[in-house]
Amino acid sequence: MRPRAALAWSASALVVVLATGNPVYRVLVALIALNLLVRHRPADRRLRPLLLAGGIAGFSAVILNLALSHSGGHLLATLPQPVPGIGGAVTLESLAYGLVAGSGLVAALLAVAPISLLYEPADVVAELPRPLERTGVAAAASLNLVPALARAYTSVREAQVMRGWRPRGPRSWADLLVPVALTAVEDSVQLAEAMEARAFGAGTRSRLRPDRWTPAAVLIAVAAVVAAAVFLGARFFGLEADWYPYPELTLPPVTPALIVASLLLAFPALPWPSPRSTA
Amino acid sequence: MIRAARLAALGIAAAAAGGLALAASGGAARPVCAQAAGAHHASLVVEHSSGAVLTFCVGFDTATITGEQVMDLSGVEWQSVQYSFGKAVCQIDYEPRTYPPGCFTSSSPYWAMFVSRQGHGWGTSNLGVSAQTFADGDALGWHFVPSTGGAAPPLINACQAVAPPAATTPPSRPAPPAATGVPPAPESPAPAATPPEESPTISPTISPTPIPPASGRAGRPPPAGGGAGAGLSPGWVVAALTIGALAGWLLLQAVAPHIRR
Repeated sequence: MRPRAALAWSASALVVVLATGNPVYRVLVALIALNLLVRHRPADRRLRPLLLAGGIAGFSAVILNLALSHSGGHLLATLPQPVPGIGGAVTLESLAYGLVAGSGLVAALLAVAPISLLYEPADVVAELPRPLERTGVAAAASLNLVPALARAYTSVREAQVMRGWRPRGPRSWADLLVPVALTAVEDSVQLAEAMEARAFGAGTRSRLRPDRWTPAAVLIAVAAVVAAAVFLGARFFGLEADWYPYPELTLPPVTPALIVASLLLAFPALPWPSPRSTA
Repeated sequence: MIRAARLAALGIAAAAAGGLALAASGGAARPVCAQAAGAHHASLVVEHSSGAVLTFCVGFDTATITGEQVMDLSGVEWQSVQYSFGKAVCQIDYEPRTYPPGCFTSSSPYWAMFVSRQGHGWGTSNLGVSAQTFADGDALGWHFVPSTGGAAPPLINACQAVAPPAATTPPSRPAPPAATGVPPAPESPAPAATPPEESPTISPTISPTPIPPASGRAGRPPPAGGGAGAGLSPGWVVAALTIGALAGWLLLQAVAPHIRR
């Protein structure tokens, strides 16, 4: 799957997830994204950290809703009230809404995961629309400085400790923060010089292998955009309203047409026609 | 902040409407003699988003009762969420069908609350339903309005006798609404049947079925459809098959490489 097709797919899948509060469609998008990731994942990229992060996010949503929302008609348990707001009724509806919120988080995470898991940052930035290209590069460079700053802090701290430094009040932290700040400034200057040496900002850039719109990439992107448009339209015209489990849990309504629209996202996950090389 | 403002708006929405007499708004139920037992009486007017209006007359013997008691005694179905500063009304007569855990969002419609004192026009309330009190001749009004707000419901004195009891058979309630959860506007005034003397101290003015005793928030049965026991719709069958197929395909992709080894 080409990076620009992946960008269109991820953006559309995210729109679908955010346009519906129905857990059925969210689960569909999450399963499609998982299939896509498993199919296109490079051998050196692992899915376990992503799944772990999604699991933690979903579990946190369930726990938070169980603890903080006490509405609903089906009582499961009653928590004591040592902490205001936490104690009270634990209901089936709260559990269901926590699962719905968690499904939204997981689906959104999986929708944008192909961008970071399947491609290098440079490939993604290169596919941004031209007005966003320089902003994207600046944002990517800034984000890259965060881990560099953490590494600089660790190394400076180790070096100072070896020289006998110990934390003794706020003033002693200056011995760490000043070198870390200077290192960050130096890294930024070096990065700017490197980018300038590579003609950043000089206008049209050349690429070794420019990405092109192949028929498969067009199919993937168009199908994904249509899926997003269908969900937005359904919401705009009131055909797809938010669903909540309160006051008493009921099954959310499911529209076959929206399931079909969700499945438009599944093109890149299918085994034909070898999208790894052509899309 | 927005939610707090919305809660305040429950009692602050504007509007004074008409006189106390027989309101003749579109879809409104014509008031009939409720003859609710009790030394004092208060009216309850509920206007759905569709324009359908329910009216109730609540009888009580104490000097005043709270808005929460008016709702409970009326027998109308209603749901609320408890906040530190009182209760927020989330659902009345099954509208809306479902609501978020905080009762409403910044963009969702909500039940706006109005208060009428001694037959005067609707006014706003600076208290919530659980703290606002009502005396003889007062009225509590609700209108399901968009997030941008809306007008007050028609001012109807549900306790005013305008028609003699027309039937000795128990009145019947309207059929539960369809999937929208909004009851249809009554096409003709409900007969003002005289409730038996031992009947409860409430008497909804549109009540085609035997009036249930004041049972808190029970009200009439919920609208059909969507419930867990309603059976699987075709959409759910398609969804189950699709989810099963995607999960199976995922399993196959994950397991196949290990089988090849």
